[in-house]
Parts: sequence; C-alpha cells; structure tokens
Amino acid sequence: MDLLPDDQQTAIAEAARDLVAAHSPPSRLHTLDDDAPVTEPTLWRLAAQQGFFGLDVPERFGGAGLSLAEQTLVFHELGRSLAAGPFLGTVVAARLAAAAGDEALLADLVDGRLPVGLADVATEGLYRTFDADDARAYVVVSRDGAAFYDADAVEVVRRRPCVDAASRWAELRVTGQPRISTHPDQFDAVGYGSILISAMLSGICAATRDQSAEYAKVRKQFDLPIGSFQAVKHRCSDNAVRAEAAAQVVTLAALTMEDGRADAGLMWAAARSVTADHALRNCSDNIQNHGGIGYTGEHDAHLFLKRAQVLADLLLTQADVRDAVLDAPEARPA
Amino acid sequence: MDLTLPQEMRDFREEVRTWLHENVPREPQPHEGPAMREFDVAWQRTQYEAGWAGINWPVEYGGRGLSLLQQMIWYEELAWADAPEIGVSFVGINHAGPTLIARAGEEQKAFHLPKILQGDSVWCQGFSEPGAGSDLAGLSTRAEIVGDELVVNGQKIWTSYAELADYQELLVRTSRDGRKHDGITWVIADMHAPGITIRPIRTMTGPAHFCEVFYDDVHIPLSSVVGEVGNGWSVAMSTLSFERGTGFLREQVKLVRLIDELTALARDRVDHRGRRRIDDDTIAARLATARAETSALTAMALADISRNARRPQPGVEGSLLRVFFSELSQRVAKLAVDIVEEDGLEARPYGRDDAYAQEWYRTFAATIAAGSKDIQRNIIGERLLGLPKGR
Repeated sequence: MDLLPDDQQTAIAEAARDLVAAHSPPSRLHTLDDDAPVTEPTLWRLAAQQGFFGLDVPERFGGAGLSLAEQTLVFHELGRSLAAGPFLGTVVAARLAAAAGDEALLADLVDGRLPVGLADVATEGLYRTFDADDARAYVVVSRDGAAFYDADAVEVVRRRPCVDAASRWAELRVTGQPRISTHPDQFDAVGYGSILISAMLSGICAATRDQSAEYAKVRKQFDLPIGSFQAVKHRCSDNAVRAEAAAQVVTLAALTMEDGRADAGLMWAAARSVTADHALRNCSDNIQNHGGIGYTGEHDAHLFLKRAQVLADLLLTQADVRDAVLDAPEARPA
Repeated sequence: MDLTLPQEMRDFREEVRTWLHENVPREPQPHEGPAMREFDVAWQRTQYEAGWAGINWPVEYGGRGLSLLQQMIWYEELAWADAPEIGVSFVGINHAGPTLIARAGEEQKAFHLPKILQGDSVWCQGFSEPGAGSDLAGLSTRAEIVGDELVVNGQKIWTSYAELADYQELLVRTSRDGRKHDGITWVIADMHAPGITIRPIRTMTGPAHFCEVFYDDVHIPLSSVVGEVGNGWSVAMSTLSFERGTGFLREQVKLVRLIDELTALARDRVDHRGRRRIDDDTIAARLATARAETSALTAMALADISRNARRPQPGVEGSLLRVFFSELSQRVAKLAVDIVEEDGLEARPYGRDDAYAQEWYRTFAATIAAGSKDIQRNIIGERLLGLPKGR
C-alpha cells in the first residue's frame, strides 16, 4: 500500500506537465478562434508519441500496459493547464475499444490519428458534446453503456455557445449504427470517465491553489505582501486542503476501480462529488484573491472557473452524483 | 500508487480481526474519574499482554517492531470492532511515546516506554497556559536550574485527564534571553510530586475532561529533560506532528461508519408528517456530500501514511488532513443532530449511542485542540505554500 506516485509515475506526471505547459498554457484560451478546432496540434502529436492516449491499454494492443492511476496523472496535468481538445473522449474510447477487443480502432486511437469527442445524454434522443470542432468520431456514454460512432453515423442538430472558450458545444443525433458498444458490466464508462474528469478537476484545484499563492507573495497592500494577512493566507490554505483532498480521492478511485474492489463505485462517485465542489470553490477563491484583476477577462482566473463548470456537468448531473454516492455499498477493507 | 496489501498484511488483518472479535470489552466505558482510568489501563494491558500494544514501536522497549502499515491496520480494525476509545492512554500512546522514541535518552526510553505500553503509567500534556494558547512559544511557566534540578513555578491549562495521570510532558521556560522559542525545555514531570495542584474544569459535553494544573516550587531532576535544556520547542513540534497525522486514523474510520449509520437512520426515521428523513432533499444532499468527503478523507489519510512511511518523522502535510478532518467531523455531527430533529434537544449522557447532540458538542474541540484551525491554516500557508509570516 502506497498511495503516492513512485519514481516512474512521478516521471510520467512531470513529462505531462512540461509538455502541456510548453504547448498549451491556460493563457492560450484567450487566443482561440471561434469556429476553428481548439486542439494545439503539436501538443496532440507529442501526447500521442509519449503514449498518453493508451497508458492503461494493454501492451499487446499498443498501449503502455500501465493503469488508470497513471492515466489520472496525465489528466491532472491536462486539467491544470486547461488543455483544449478531445482528450477525454479519445481515452474513454480507447478503453472502450480495449474492452470490446477492437484492435484496429485501438491502434488509431492510441496513435492519436482519430480524435474522439465525448458525448453524453442531452434531452430525449439527443446527445451532447463539447468537442464539436475537433472530433472525428464520438464515444457516447450513458447509464446503459458506451458506444463508438464514426463521424458519418451522427449529425449535428444544433450548436450552442459555451461559457468555456475551449468547449465547443453541439447536440447530436445518431443516424447510423455504432461501430462498437459495451454494456456497463463490461466497461463502466460512467465511472471511468468520471475518474478522468475528476482528475482534470483536481488539476484545476492545484493550478488555482498555486496561482493564488504566487500572487499573494508578490502583491503588496499596506506595504506588505497580501499573503501575510490571515484573511488571504487562510483562503490560500483552504485551497491547499481542497487540492490535496481532490488529488488523493482521484488516486484512490482509480486504484479501487483497477483492482475491482467492492468500494470502487463509492470512490468514483465520491471523487466526482469532491473534485467538482473543490474545484469550483478554489476557482472562486482564486478570483477573489486576485481582486480587480481577477475579475477581468484578460486574466486567466475566470478561465479556470468556466472550465471547471463544464467538467462538473459532464456525464452526470449533481443529483446523479448524489444518488451514486448514497447508493454505493459500504467500504470496509477486505 | 498501489492499494494492494501483501498476503502477510492481509493475514495480519485477519489475525487482528479475530483477536478483537474475541477480546474487545463489551461493558460500557466510563468517561471520567478513577473508574475511567481503571477501565482504560485494563484495556491497554489486555492489548499489551496479547502483543498488540506498540505495533510499530521498537522491540527493545516492549513494542512489536512492525511496520507503520500494520499499525494502520490495527487502528482501522479497532474502529471496525467498536473497541473502547483510547481515553486516558491517548497522550502516552500517541504523543509522549512517539516523542520519547524520537528524542529521549536511552534510560528515559527504557524506563517509560514499557510502562506506557503496559498501561502502568498514564500521561497528560502540559503545553497550553492561560496566556499561551495559539502562541504556545509565549509560555511563561518558569523553571530555574538549581543544582541538578529544575524548580518549576506557574500554571498550565486545558490538560486532559491531569487528575488521572502519573506523568506529564511539560513545557517550561528555562530562559528569557533571545528568541522566545529558544528558551523552552521539554521535561517529564511526575504528577504526584509535591507542589502540583490540579483543578478539574467541566467541558461543554458534561464530563470534566480537562484541568488546570498549578506548579508551586515543583522539583524535577534535570535527568528528566528530553532533548536538551532550551531545545524543547523542536521536541514539542515533533509531538504535534504525531498528533496531527496517523494518530487520528481510527477516528477517520469511525467517521466512515458514522455516515453509513446516519444514512440508515435517515432511511428509518420519519418526521411528524410521516416523511422519511432521507426524502428531505437537504438531508440527502448533506449525507451524500459527507460520504464523499469522508471517502476523500480516507484517501488523504492513506496518502499521509504513505508519506510518513517514506521518512523518519511526520511532516507538516498532516495539517491538511487535520483541517479537513476536524471540520468534516463537525459537519457530520451537526447533520446527525438535524436528522433526529427534536431528539437533539434531550440532555443525554455523553457516550450513549444516541447522544448525537453531546457528540456534536465534543467535535467543537477538534478545531481547537492540537493547534486551532487558524494555526493549522497558518502552518499550511507558511510552510507548505511559502506565504510570508504575518498576523
């Protein structure tokens, strides 16, 4: 038992952090064009080269043969930098293809040749995606299971503008047959996707914690750095507590799911609940800590809040998360 | 990142479960006075005799010399087995013992550690003073070196179970020169020594858990100093790190269980309109949030143990856990009171299973003791985030 990353895992996290920071810092979102794809092409290519789309895919299928725990480290970093693009959908699709044994599809996904949008259930008969300008296929995730659709098997019914500059919202109708589909017993796509979403939210918790702390060290009022005032310092400390809770519950959720433990259902639901709440609170505190500049459109602080808002709404409503937490069986160690 | 326990650890857990199932005392645990001491030390002795005391303490001082992981399993299983609270053994097992192991001289360790494990000596803490709470280093109980003795005069306060204790981990001021942190000495006081007067203080839960302790020319041999004269601040800080970290694992498991219990209670109980309490959306939402947060707490505790297993001394990250745990336990305790509605108004004896209000009152101590939540936040801000010191 050791919940912390080992040397190899730390190296994966650092590589991911460096890569994302170099090619897709949060400030990139200020410069995105409205109708063009949001993915930074170099980041996407290098992420594929470093194996980030198949860390938890078995080696015989071209993956790295690691686990969801390593995959969450990468998604934590994608969240921290507000990386734009269909990372979630592509990795969920890879795990789906692995579960269904579709090796040809897996190869395309792991190599990054086929960016897949994540779609969840919108209203009756329609699905919702935030990857509309980048996806060349879709993975539809619902309570009933997961299904992979090629681009020609869906049509866009309507587009909606999204508060998050990098989220490209569309409602989709399925017009063709899925290439593959699985039942929740084969692949718990809602749980798996929720853990990746939670990892991104935990990355946002860490980013806002650090942004506030750094600002509080240099911004002076009354001739002192504002971080020396308890009112500010304690908000920064609360951000650190929330970031720690978020990061650790994500790891625990990933490990319980990989190990097939009885408390896996509780842990992914808990991760969803805690990371969404903590990210939104950290993002709000971060705006407050920055004062007037935090309220401006040119600062990054609002970008974190808006991305957290979108992530917190994917796959499950708040009521769904609440029920999932309450209905999960108890968590006594085996 | 790995949750699996080796077969050896799983066997250990099985062994612990079996023993606890057969040996946990079933009679109610007294919550104050000599009856409490008698009960708590008997339970400590039972654990010692069966080889369960000091699981990760060194073998030469009566411990088992096993891993932190095994100690963790023991704490978890104590909570699952509804074992008695640690009670008067708390300071000896969770503070003084670990501090002595880390900082005391050979003779001190050989004398005190086995007694603590065997339940032969009960310890209390002498840190806070009327004028030195959060500003602990501002303490003014003074000790003059006279020959080979310290002569102590002053007053301590909020000392839990002082009237039941044999020894005290006592912080005294041995110098007024220089930085206030540098003039402090950590010394073992004999609570039966002449010149010590103890006055119990009632708490808001009812029983008199804590006391004022007065020192009037109390003579303590210099050989009872732990660390060196003037070095007490660093010794004390190692104690507080223990208190904030793994020592609370058991309470965390209890919180997990309490929420499951409260969820069942909310499903059973109906309000005056005949509606199940869980069908009140605010109750359901609070239960779900609490259960999710408690799962996160479990993860934080496992992470903290993992960190501490990699280094010789617990670090300041324990404060993250402490802040989250103490505030969460207050929210859960208040939720229990809200589920039972007007039953929360009934004065019930502390310690009874359905004394939800009294349990809620107890949790107010969690954000005050072991460093108030404000001090914990200063520690996080300054030592983890690197923010400048200030007020």
